Amino acid sequence: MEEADKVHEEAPEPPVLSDNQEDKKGASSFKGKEDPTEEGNEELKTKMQEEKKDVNKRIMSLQKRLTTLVTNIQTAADAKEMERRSGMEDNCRIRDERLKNDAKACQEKVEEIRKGWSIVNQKVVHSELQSVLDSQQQLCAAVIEDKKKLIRDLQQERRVKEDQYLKNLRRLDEEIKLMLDRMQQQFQNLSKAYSEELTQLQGVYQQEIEVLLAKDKAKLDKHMKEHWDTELESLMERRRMVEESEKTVHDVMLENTTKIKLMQLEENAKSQARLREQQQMKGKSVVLNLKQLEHGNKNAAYNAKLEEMKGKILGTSKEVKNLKTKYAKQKDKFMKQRQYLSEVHKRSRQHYERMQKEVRYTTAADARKFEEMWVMMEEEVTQLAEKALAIDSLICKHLGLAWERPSAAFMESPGPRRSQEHDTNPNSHLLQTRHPSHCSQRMMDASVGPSLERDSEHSTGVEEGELSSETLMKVMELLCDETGFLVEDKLRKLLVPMEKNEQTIVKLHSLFAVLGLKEKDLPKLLHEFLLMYERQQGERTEGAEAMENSATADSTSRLIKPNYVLPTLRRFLEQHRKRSSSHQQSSLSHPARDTSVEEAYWDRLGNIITEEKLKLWDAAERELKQYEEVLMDISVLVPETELLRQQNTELRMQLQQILSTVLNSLWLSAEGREKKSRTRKSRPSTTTSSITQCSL
Amino acid sequence: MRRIIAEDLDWSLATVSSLSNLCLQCIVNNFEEKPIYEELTSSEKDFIQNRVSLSLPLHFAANVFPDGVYWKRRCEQKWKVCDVSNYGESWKRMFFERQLENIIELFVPGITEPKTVLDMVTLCKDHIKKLNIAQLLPPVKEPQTEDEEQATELTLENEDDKSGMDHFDFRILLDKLTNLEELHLVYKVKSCGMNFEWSMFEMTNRDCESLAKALKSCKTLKLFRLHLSHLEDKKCRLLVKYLLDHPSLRTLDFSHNVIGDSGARAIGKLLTKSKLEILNLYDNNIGGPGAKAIAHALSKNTTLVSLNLCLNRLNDEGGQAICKALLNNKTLLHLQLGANGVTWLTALSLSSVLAQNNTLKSINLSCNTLGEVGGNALEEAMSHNTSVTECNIHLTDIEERKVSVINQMVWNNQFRKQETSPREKNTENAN
Repeated sequence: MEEADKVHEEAPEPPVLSDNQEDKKGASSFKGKEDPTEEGNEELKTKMQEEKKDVNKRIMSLQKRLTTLVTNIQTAADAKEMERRSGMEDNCRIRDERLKNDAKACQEKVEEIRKGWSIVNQKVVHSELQSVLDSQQQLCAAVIEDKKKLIRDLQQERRVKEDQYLKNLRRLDEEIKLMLDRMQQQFQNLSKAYSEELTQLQGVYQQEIEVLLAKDKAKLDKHMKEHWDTELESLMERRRMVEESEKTVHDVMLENTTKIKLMQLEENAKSQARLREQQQMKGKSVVLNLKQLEHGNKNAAYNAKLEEMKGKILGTSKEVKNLKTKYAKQKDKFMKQRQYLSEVHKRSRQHYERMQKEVRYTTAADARKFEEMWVMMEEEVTQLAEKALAIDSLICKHLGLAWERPSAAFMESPGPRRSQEHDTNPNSHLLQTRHPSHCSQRMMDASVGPSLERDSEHSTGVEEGELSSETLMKVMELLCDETGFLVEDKLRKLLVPMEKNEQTIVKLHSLFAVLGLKEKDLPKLLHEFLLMYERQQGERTEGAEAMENSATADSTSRLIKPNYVLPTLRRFLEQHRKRSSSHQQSSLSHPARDTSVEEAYWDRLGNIITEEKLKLWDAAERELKQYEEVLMDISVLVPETELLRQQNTELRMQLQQILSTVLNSLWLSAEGREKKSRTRKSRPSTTTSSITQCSL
Repeated sequence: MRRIIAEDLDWSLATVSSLSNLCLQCIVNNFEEKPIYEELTSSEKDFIQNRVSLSLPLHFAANVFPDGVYWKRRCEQKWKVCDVSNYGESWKRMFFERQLENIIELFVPGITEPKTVLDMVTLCKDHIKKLNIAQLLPPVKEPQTEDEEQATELTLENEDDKSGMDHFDFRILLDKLTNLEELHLVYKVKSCGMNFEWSMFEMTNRDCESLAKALKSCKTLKLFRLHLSHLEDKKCRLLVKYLLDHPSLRTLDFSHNVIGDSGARAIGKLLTKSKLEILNLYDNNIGGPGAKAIAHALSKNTTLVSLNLCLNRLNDEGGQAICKALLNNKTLLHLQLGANGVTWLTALSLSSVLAQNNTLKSINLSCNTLGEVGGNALEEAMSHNTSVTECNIHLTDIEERKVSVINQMVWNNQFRKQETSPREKNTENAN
């Protein structure tokens, strides 16, 4: 196939190269070329028929055939080229000869002409010369004509050859097309052949395989059969052999066993003796071994234990180390924290103290301010009251009533505040009511313990109260008995062996703990009970001091009734709770004032002008207002009257003037003028009348 | 919905492409700005090769893409027929070779910048193994007046030395192609039409010299083919002079030229000096003396495998000389002496060769007038020979019967060989 391709490449090329020379036998040679292909086909068929079995050969021959077909074309082209070349050479040769002949003829003629020229030179006569010249001219013309003819011939030849060349080219083109077609056919043939061959090959191989398989199977079966037969035979033989040998073996065994038994018996006896010896030895060695083993075991156990212990110790020491390091770390940490916290605490404390100082200062300042304010207000109020009194007196005077100063003593006396400042303390008795509590507290301090000593120090400066310790004790006992349900049973059992005093004290402690009270509150509580008692006593006694004095004498009768203990306690607790909530503010506030006195004072000041007087004032005001209105009217009318008076005077003046003039002219003028004068006379009369009215 | 589908044929509601595909598509779209290729996996590379725009600049694409689908797409975009088996199954090689061939074939000396070729060469020098140049354009001639033409006719010799008619200068190209193995050249102009001039189908002396130097510079060349180029003796001698010591040349093809005896003498010298294996002088003008020179070289040569002297003018003088030379040669396998005007004399000497030489495999004696004598001699010789598997004796005036007998013997040889060769193959396989 490669060759075919090559041919395909090369075959068309020669025509391109070919000159414009004639190629006469191209067509004929091409025709002649077709014969071998047909032959080839026939041969191919015969070959195929012959060599159907040998596929390889067939394909090879096919390839060969097909390629030879192509090589034939090439050889044909070569042959054609050869012919073309030879033809070209011939043509060239002919042309060369022709040209040579022509050149020779020309030469001859030229020589003739030359000779003629020499004759021309010899000739003298004109006519002769003329004729010679003519002949010369003719000769030249002949030469030229010859040349022209030659040229024409050559040109014609060229033209013919050009046409032929064109035809040749066309023919070549057709041939190429034909060749292409043929090659395609060949391709198809070959591929068809290949496919056929493939199918055939497959079939053949399949058949072959089947045949081979069948053969192999048969062979296998045969061989197997033979093999089995031989095997069976050999097996039978072997069985027989085995049986025989078994018999012999059995005999031999019997003999042997008897021998062996004898031998065994002997050897048994020997071995038993040996065994006995050995066991004795063993016994000894075992005892030794046991001893050693015991030691060894013990040591091993100890060692193991020791190792375990060591391991444990190591572990624990490690743990301890770790813990120590941890502890040190924690310690450092906590130390740092503590330092930090203490600093913070210090700072906060200082801050707190500063705050307290500030608060104290501010409260003091506030109190001072308040009092100053208060005093000022009082002064103002008294001034106002005095003013009011003054006004009142004025009004009374005005009305012509008799006015008395309501209570000069009160007015002269200063306000309660001012009187306080002058150390004439009217509320001192209120403060002194607390003193018994301090006293009782002191008594408590002695019994309860050192925790209350601080409080007792505060109360050192307080004078001894009137309440005796006995009454206090009794009150306390009463309290304890009544509130016994609040004390736990365990405590009560514990308290049984104690003295009565101690019992009450401890019970009180527990009670206070239950009620959420503090020891400070105890005196207040007691005081509450005492007050309660006072109230029970009623208003038959006048002052607290007197009451207390008498209470010392008759303590039992003064004690609170047991039925009232619980309600009072409850009330006290409520109060205490309220107080404790407001304690923080109130504790810092200035000492309490007696508001009632001040209220009275203020009331008195407010009521310095009595209601009746107010009514009087109102009535007087109404009258006065009426009077004022009348006065106002008068005051409006006064300027009018003034104006009218003035006008009157002016008009009087004018009248006098006019009268004087009129008196002069009256005499002269007619009656008409008299009328005018009459109207003028009437006008002044009216004015005078009005003036009189006004004056009225 | 309908509208969208109508506008975009690939659009589909069902398939949402995966993120990796979208990423790859993004790479493809921005490939010129940011080429990411080497770090991808092979399947991703395939994806990119299948999608990347074919209009990428060549200098860019050449460095990025190895041989593969991308080059296949470029080839198929550019040419209708693409047979990659001719290019070692490499699409990239095919693309660059054909591209360079196109550039050279359309190269007009004096007008086209040599730079265009050089630029291309820098890109593809590693990929090109074979160059098949089917035409070389002459420079554009300025229209000349008749006087000038007459003048040029008179100074025809001088004109050859002028650079006016020179073709593409291969010196700038061949020494740069480091992998070039095959070079096919034709000095002709395709479809010249009515502008035909003989000079279009010739190479000038300068062309010849530059080509010869270029060939010398190309050390990897194995096959050189210069056909249909009106190569004369003088130019042939020049070419051969430069090819004398070429290190790798194995195949020389001067078919369809006009090499005469002196050129053949030079080629004979080349045969003695080089390691040529295939020599093709088909359709030249070599006569007896030239053939004698080649025969002389052939008798000493030990490398030549194939000799093609078809369609020359050897005649019996040359044919006999070559046949005598074959008596001493044990390497030649293929001999072609078709259409050389040899007669029964050569056939006689060849038959004496065939009787004792068992290396020749194919003989071509077609289109020679061997006659009956020659046929008889060949028939007898073939009966002793076992190596010849091809023998072309068509159109040699030998009787049909003898031709068929000879062919039969040749086939027998061939079958024998065919039978032995599978066995050899089998043994090879077993080994």
